[in-house]
This record gives sequence, C-alpha cells and structure tokens, in this order.
Amino acid sequence: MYDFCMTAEMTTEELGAFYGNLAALVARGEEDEAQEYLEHHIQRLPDELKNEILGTMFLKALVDEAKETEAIARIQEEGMTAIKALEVLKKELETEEKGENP
Amino acid sequence: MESAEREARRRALIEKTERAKQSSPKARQQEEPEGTEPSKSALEYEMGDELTVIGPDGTKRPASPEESEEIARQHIARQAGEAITPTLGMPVFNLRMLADTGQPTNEPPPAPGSTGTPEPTPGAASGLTTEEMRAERERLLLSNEELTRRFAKQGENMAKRIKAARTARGFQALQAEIEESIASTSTPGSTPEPAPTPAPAPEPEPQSPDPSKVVRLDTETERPDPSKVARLDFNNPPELPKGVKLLEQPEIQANPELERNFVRVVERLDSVHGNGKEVYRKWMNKEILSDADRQLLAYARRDFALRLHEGTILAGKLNMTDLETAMRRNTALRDEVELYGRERTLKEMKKQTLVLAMKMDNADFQEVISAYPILDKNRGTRTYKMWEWTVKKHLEITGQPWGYYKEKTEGISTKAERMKARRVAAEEITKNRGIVLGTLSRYAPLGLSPFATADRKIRGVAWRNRKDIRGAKYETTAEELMEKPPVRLVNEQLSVITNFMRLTLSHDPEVRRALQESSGFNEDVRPQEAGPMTLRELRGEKERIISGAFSQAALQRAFDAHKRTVPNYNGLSKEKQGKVRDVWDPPSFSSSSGMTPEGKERRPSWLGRILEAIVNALMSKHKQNLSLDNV
Repeated sequence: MYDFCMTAEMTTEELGAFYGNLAALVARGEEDEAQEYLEHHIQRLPDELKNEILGTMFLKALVDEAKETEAIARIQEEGMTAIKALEVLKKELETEEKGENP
Repeated sequence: MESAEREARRRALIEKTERAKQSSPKARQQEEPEGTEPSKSALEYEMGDELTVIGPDGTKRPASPEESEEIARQHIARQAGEAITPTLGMPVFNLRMLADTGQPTNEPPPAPGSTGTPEPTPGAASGLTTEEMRAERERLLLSNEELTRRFAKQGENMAKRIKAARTARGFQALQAEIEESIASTSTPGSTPEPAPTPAPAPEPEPQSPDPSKVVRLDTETERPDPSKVARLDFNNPPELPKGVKLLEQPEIQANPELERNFVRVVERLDSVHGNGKEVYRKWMNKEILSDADRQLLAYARRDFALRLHEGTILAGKLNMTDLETAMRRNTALRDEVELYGRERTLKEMKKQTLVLAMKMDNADFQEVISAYPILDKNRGTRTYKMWEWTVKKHLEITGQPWGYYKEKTEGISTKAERMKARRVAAEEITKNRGIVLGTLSRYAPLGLSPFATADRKIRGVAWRNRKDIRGAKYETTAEELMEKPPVRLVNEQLSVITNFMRLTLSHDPEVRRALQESSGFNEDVRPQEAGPMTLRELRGEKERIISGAFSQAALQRAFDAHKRTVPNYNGLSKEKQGKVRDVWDPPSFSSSSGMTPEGKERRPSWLGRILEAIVNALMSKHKQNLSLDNV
C-alpha cells in the first residue's frame, strides 16, 4: 500500500494511489479500515475535496447518531414492555389471588 | 414486597426485644412479682415506626421494652401455631386489624379481663372471630409469599419471551398481548368470563373494523414461536415445492437483479445467523470457504428460490380490486395511492413485493402469503356475498359513509327503540302539559293520551327519516353478517393485505421518492437502487483501479477522442481549445459505485460518495494537465 508521510497537499499521483487504496478497502468490505485510512490522510487532501469528505462524514455521523438514538429508544421501549409485562403479571396474580380468597 | 417488608419489620422487632432483654433484666424482674398468675387480659397493638399499645379505653402509648419483647414472643408463637400463654403480668397482645381503607376496624377493644382465647368479635363486618381473622391473616401472609415466588417465576418466563421477540412485529404482538391483559385485569372484581354483550359498533372507517384488531385475532396464535424462527437448522433447508428450480450460484450471479435479491436473503439470514454477510464477503473475495460457509450459502440458495417463487405468486395476486378495497380500509393508503396514481402504484407494489419477499422474516411473510388462499376460499361463500351486497347497496343507495345512519337514527331505527322513545316522549309530554292536561288525558284517552301523542310524534319522525332508517338497517344487517366466519376471515386477511400494501410503499423511503417524482412530472422515475452491490460491480470497480482507468494517460486518450468529435478543433485558438477542455465532462470516468452495470442510478453508500468525490478531484487535476494539441 502506498504510504503518504508528508504533510503537504497530495500530488495527482498520490491522490490516484490514495483512491486506489481506499477503493480496494471498500471493495473488500472493510469499512472500518477504510474510514481509518481516510481519517489518517484527510489533512493532505485538496481543500475542496477535504470539505466535501468532511461534509459526507458529518452526515454519516449524524445518521449513525440517529441510528444509535433509535437503538436506545428501542431498548428503552423494550424495557418499558418488560416493566409493563411484570405489572400485568402481578395484576393477574393478584386478581387470581382475590378470586381464590374472595 | 409487602411480605418482605413485614418480615424485615418482624426481624427488627425481635432484635430490638433481644437487646432490651439483655439491657434490663433486673428491671423486668422487679416489675414481675413472683407467684403472680399470668394476666389473662388482652390488649391491642399497632406496628409502625415504633410499637404502640392501645389501652382498653382506646388510648395509645408506646410499648415498653418488656411489652415489645412480649409482643414479639407472642407473635412468633402465633406464627408457629402454638397456644399463646402470656408471661406473668403481661396481657395477650393482639395486632389491631385494619380495614381496607387502612383505618382500624370499628371493633371495640376487648374488655379487661378477657382471656384472649378465640372469642366472637362483636361488630366485625366480616363476622369472623379474632382468632379466625388472625388465622386468615397468617394464611394471607403465606399466600403472599407464594404469590411473590410465582410472580418471580412468571417474570423470568416473560423476560425470556421478551428476549425471544426479535422482530418489531414480535414486540408488537407481545405488547398487544400485554395491553389486552391489562385491559382485562383493570376491573378488579369482575368475573373472568363476562356476560355476553352485544358486539360493539364498528369504527366509522368504511366497511371494515379496525384492521389492527382484526390482524391480532387468530393469526397470532398460529404464529410460530419467535425463538424457533431464530434457530435456523442449516441441515434442514426449506423444502422447495415441485417445479421450483433451485438456481446455482453462477446462475444467480449472472443476473444482477437476482444477485441483489440473493444478497438480501443473505442479509436476512445474517440477522438470524450472524454470519451471512461475512460468508458472502469471503466468497466475493475468492477466499476458501469452510464446510459451514458452504452450508450457509446452500441454505440461502434454497431459501432464495422459495422466496422468489412465493414472491412472484404474491406479486401476481395483487390486483386493482384489492388495492381499491385496501384504499377504502385505510385512508392513509388511499391518500398516497391517489397522489401517485393507481396504475403506477400497483406496478411499484408488485415490484417491491419481490424485494419484501427477500427481506421479511418468515413468520410475517407466511402470514401474507397465506392470506390469499383464505380470501379466495371465503369470498365465494353465500354469507360473504350477502354481506358484500348489503354494503354495496348501502353505498349505492345512500352514498353516505359507513356508520352515518346508525348514528343519525339512533333511538328510532328499530321497533324496540321506537317503543322506548315513545315512552320517553310520553313522559316529556305529560310533564310539559301540566297537571290539568295530564289529569284530563287520563279521562279522555283517545286523542289526548300522551302515549298516543308520543306515538304519532315518533311515527312522524320515523316516516320523515325512512331513508335513514333503511340505511341504518343495511348497516345493522352488515354488522351482524360481519360477525360470521367467512366475512370475519375475509376482513382479517384483507387487513393483512392492506398492511402489506402499505409496507411495499413504506419499507424504503426511496420508493416513495421515486413515486412522488414520477407522478409530479408524469414520467417514469425508478427508485434508486439502495440494495447491496453485486459481485460484478465490486470486482468491476477493483479492475478499473488496477487497470489504471483513472490515470492521466487514460484521460488523455479519452479527451483526444473527444477532440475528434468537436468540429474544426484544430482550427480553434488555444483559448477556445482550453474552453473545450474545461467544459468537457468525462462521464465514463465517474466511479462505478454510483451506477449499476445496466446504467441505472445507484444510491451510493457514504464511502461510495467519498470515492466519487475523490475521482472527481482526480479528474479535475488530470484535466488541468491535458494536452490541447491538435489531433
């Protein structure tokens, strides 16, 4: 894999190699590695491209956050279901008990 | 909970008395004259933050350490079922019984000198003796402990069921069950089997009961246990009906649409098995597959073949009549279909049916595909046809929404109702006429009777509203028929189909976007493919990179080709040639992640969008270096 160690903006060749490496990671389905690779080299990308990528990453973060919130909400909902279920069970048992001991 | 609290309080009390015993044994001895006979009097006490003894006159005072000790001793003896023998100089202590309100019962304290042995409790509402009440209390305490144990056990069972309910529908079903149970237990004291009551009137939603209510009836019990669904047995893949072809992996991959659907099946299995995507990734990257991996793919292929077969049949069954019925049943669906157009929506629904066939979990999908055979069977029955005729008649004759007449003619549509209304009106008339006319009417019943007047009035109302009454009768007849099995079953299954139709439009927001655009511009806009990339697309991307498709040389070749298409390029000035270069857009160089091989637009992933942006940046850089030389 081509290594970019300088801090200056990437040359066209470097950008081509960067694209090749990133696309290879994406094609292998290694999303986490691709993201790490991208974050590692983002400072050396041309400004316009950097802004575009940051915007996309920001959107992705927003979506992830929304998904996370959704997951939390789902877990909370499941918790509420569990609590409700327990309440119902108690009520049922109490009713049953009352039926046995009027 | 309560029993635990009581138990804790009892233990605290024992400890307290033990401490008191150790601290003042002498004092106790001084107060206990030797040879004194045990006192046979009985006193009551209350348990709270501190023990309170209630005197014979009803006065309350804190219990002394000796009394506390004695109370604890007697309490333990009672719990053990032993006879209560008070210590010398101590009375029998009885716990004051509280009424349901938490207030002490009106039971007067026992007279001094009474023995504390079982005796009738005068004034007790229950009629129980003190001893019986005590025994009852003990029994309740024990049963409460049993109740707590059973509660904990059932709680564990419920927790297991909650864990097993993996899908949203599973949770909904569980929630509905719980809510139903809450509703049935919310009226304490009600008999377990309520007396039969007339069926409640349906919601004013046109000619159908609330779909959610219908779906939840019998179908829930038929649904397999979610935990069983979760356990896939790869040694026993689904049986394929006769004539269904099992496609081989290369056959699936030869067709991008089939492959995309196959990947959807793999993804669904992944949510159950947790390994599907990884196995497919290995296959895609030409890695060696293990036996288990091959088994999973084999299972997925059979499942895919079955879903493809069933999905195709289901898509073929969706028709315009059912869509219109579903629109009448669900106003949200009606609004949406009217917005996009019936034909276009139905076409898209059929297409999305296949996608959903691949994505839906087994229980939900089975529910949908089993709906049509039930519909076909019951729609042919006489009862259903009669119901349908009545409903149609109602709509044709009256043109009013369902339930309109029932509401309007409430109180006069049936004979019994008219008779009741007559009585009410007669009472009103008598009251309004005053005493004189009322008295006269008793002597001259003909013509002057308030009942006769009321009768005329009610008949007049009924005549003037005869059309409404007829409409109400249709409604009543249809409602009665609706309770009969064929109509009820059709209603239930139509609810399933209606929900499924809605799902075809809502499962992917892209479907709605495309339909909206299509209808807005009156042109065919296909939903962007949000599905997984096929093997070919991914490999194609890789090959393009390796082959240097995005290199400067490749771009130069493409630009040279473009130059040849520009009329008189060689005759242009350098500035104009530069402009040709600037406005030139090399479409074939855009990242393939945004396009399918068939040229359809694809909604790329976030990484796909980044790759596209990099390609564009790269092309811009390359473009600046392109040679403008003549060709």
